[in-house]
Amino acid sequence: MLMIDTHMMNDTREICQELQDTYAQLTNLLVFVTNHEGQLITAPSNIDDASVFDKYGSELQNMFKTEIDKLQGIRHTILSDQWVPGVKWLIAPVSVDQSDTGMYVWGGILIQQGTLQSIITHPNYLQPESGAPADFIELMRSWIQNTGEISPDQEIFKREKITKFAKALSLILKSSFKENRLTQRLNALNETLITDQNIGNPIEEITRAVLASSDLADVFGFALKTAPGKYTIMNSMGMNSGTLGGSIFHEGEGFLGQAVLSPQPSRWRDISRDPRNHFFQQKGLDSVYEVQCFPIRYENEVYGLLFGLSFKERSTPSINPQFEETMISLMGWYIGNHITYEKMEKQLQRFKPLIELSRMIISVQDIQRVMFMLVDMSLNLVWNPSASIVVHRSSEDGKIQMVARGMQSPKGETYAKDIARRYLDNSDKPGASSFINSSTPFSLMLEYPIVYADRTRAVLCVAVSNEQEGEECREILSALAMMGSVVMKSVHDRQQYLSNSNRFAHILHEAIREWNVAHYQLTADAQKIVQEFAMWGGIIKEEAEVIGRACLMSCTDPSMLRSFPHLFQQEAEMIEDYKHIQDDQSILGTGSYSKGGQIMALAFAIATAGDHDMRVVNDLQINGVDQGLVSQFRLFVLSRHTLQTEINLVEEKAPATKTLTAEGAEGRGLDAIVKQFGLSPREKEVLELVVKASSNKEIAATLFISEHTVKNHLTNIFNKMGVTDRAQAIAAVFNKSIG
Amino acid sequence: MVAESDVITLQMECTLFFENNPYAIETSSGLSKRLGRSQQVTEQALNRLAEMSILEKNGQGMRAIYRYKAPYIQTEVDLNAYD
Repeated sequence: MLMIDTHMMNDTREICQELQDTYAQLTNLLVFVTNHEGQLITAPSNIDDASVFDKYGSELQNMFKTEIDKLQGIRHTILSDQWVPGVKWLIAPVSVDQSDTGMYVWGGILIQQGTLQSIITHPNYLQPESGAPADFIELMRSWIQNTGEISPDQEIFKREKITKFAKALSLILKSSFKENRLTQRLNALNETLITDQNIGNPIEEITRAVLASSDLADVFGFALKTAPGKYTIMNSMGMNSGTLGGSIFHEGEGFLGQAVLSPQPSRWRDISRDPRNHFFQQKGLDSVYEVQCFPIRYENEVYGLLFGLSFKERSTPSINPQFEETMISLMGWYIGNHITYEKMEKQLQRFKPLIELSRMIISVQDIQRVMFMLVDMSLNLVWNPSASIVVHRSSEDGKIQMVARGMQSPKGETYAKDIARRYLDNSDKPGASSFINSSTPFSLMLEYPIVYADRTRAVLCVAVSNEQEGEECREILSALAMMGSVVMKSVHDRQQYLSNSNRFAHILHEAIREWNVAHYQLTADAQKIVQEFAMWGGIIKEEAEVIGRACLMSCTDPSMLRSFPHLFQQEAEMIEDYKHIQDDQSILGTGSYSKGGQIMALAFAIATAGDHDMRVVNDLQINGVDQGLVSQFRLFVLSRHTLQTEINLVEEKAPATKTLTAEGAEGRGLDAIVKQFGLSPREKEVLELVVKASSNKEIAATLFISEHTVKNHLTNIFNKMGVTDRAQAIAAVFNKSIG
Repeated sequence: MVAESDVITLQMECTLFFENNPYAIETSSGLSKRLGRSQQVTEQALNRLAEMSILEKNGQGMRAIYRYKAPYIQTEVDLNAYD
């Protein structure tokens, strides 16, 4: 309860004083205004010397207070002669904030016609033992003596006027009180919201702060949707409200459940006998009289509910219910907005990495690798990761391939078969929409068919903890599945392309055999050399595929090859370049032709000369081919030639028992190198694999170390051996073995 | 304070790193240098991946080492042999 005199503004006080003085003059009465504690709020009117009030402030306050205590609950103006029998005062209550406590107007003194003589001759007339200070008794005596007797009509007139003054005062103060209360409420709200902006308070704290300063209800609660159709009371405040926290209600159930279905605020009054009140009675809130509910919504989605409960005994209804209702409705909108923002933020936090991922995943050219990525990335993207599986139909013969994390055989396998039955068996009718499946051996699964080339080829399935989470993750996982579709289609198309390219290239190659067997053999040898060059580490496998096809079709007209839509464009260019180099028409200069064309020229040169002619290797110099490439090729042929030589040597020694490979060279060459340069056992193992033409990745896999470690070992080996690359290292090993 | 999207991006980067280098064994310090990110965020991302069982974590704190845990793979599941 606010003190009246503290919220009474100066300008309001002046108006009240002016009004009081005017009514005092009109009624010719002494007029005071006190609060319910007996304190004077304004200066007394119609009193010449008011110094006595300053002098005896506390004594007079006690006098007024004693009188007020006897008058508790008065609603109308009354007459009282408590202090001096027959000497009456009009006492009018001034209602300010609809509570019992307020202010009082005192108007006096009134002496009825024919009673003055009996008053002043009364034996106890103004005796000091009355408790009043002597000065005040003297003042009172002078007031009585100066006051004339009044008629009943005059008494009625004075009573009416004092009553009207009290009413006028009430209106002025109520307005002032409301304005003051509103200012305080707005200040409190402002402070809360500014704090929110500055330190980012959790939404629950903001709600608590806003509701705690509201006087719309006795108890407030804040419920959030925790699953579709299910709401949990997250927060409650007010007397005996502790039991509400954590309570659950469902849509359509009780007052709260019905309120979430309504787009507007809902209110129920006098609910004590309503069966729906049972929900609150169970929580120990027996005397709920009124329920007010404000849905938390944003656009068409309900996120929760703010509600207020008022008890029967609540005696001070809200000062400004319309304002409070509007404020709490706005609060509901604010929370809804905030929740939407948080959800969008959560999605955005994952979309940004997903975009990054799309840049990396697009270059993957292996279905199993794509499946790995989909499984691992889906776990990265869901809120509470637990399990993920991708099922892919790897062939047309009823076989499937699965990659799973968080689920093991046989459950995973059973589920994969179920997925295949439901999605991949009917692959003629692809379905691209996701599906929440609750009847799995695991938790809830979100299933995304991955469709490309007009069929459902794979399914991405991700476990979620509940339907709500499923709804929230649906979009982001859909984007991931879509990305998977695009990449798998790309891999599929590439495989189709390679399959078609290889098939056509071999058909064209076979056709050559009919009219030029020697050239047929030569092109086949050149292709083999290119493949070996790739195995040796000179070029990547994919590059070797294209160059190899170009070798096979080298006598075909490039313009004819270009007529195949989407096929052989690279091969045609390589063949053209190769022919220019071969015809010694390398007008573009050394190294200006495509790398493929140059490698073809080198491969054909070696294939034409035959493997045993080392002079070709030493004199390898083709106009139009880059010198670096020639050197690289020379090393490759040298290692190839050295191996062949070793085979021959050993065959001569033990022709019937040994088949030689690089291991043969290892016996002398590798050991000699290890001994000569002081290589560690691990470095020996790495070098041994290098000699076997293993890539860094393959060495890492074989030795169970990272590629980074392989590179470190290689750097150390090269430093110790005084070579700059693996080709020189291999050559050194084989040279040792020969020497 | 590190943005959640940055941690998730790093999680994905780490996942891809270990997928590309399935035999790599790294500490948060080593990986943070490789990826050019702060060790604190890298450690946070690696620990999350360990919680998801994408990585295996051995040891604690700065000395913890992480390695890729290959997913469960089953190829050539015969659909004709329905359960």
